[in-house]
Amino acid sequence: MKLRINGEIRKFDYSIETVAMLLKTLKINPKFVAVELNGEVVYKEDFETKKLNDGDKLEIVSFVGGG
Amino acid sequence: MSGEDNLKPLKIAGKEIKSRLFVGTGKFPSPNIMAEALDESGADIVTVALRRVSFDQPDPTLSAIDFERYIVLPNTSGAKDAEEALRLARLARAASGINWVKLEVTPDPVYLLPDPVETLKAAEKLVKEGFVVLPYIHADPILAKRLEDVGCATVMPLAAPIGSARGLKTEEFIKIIIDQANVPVVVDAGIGLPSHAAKAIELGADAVLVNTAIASAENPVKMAKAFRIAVESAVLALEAGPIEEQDKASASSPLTGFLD
Repeated sequence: MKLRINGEIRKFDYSIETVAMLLKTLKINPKFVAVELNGEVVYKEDFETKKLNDGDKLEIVSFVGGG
Repeated sequence: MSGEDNLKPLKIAGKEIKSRLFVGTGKFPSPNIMAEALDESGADIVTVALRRVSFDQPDPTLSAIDFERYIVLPNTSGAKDAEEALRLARLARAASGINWVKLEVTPDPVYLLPDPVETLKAAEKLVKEGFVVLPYIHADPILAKRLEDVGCATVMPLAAPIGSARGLKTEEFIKIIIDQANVPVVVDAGIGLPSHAAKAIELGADAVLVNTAIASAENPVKMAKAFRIAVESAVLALEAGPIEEQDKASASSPLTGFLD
């Protein structure tokens, strides 16, 4: 499965079903993380159910220092 | 104001904010120093930005910010237009449940001045979507009024460009905003010294937001303390009822008789 994540193409040998599984695969703690899938915000309560498809574009963001 | 008055409480979205010093969390030499500096500053409100998660090197700053202790205010820094600001604000809310946002729309990377048209456009939409909007603007009194009219919780006029440490370059216009605003006025950006922060408060600003002046100081923890003291000093001074400027001298001691 091919996904575009934060501007980079990533290839996975197996299909990743949901946003929650993707975060687990990438070892990302969902606590202060937001996900945008194909331009739309995915809410935390939908992480387990939101399905991913080959070629999907994702932005995974979180908080950093700022003024 | 009589000497016994306390300063009018600072309330944002119904929440009373005790500290008049807001602090940004960017540019600190380390997360530990940042945490200590925030502590020394006495700030209640701290700002953060939203960026792509780095898979190789996760940002350690986040774990050093105590979300229970501080009101964390996400900013939309990086946004070049209203669409991008909306996107960032919505993502910040999805990430944290926090519906406060410091609206920052800066298309020019050299001076980082805020775009008034895009800021107003984004503010109106964000207020409608239930955000508590704190917009970063040039010290334009008309713009400040327009943002107040669309429901912003505060206005945040700049003193000077972000990180420039030039102080209250926009002083005359900040004074006008302070005179006319019905929402809290937070002077944000360009503050370089504690005296700048004190001056802003003495002029009547409800709070100041400082990042670079603290984070990039040689000793950020000490500088955070300096800023806290300066802001507290200005608050005390206003409560103490300062004397007014006079054109002519006013002798400190009675003019003597015995030397005549």
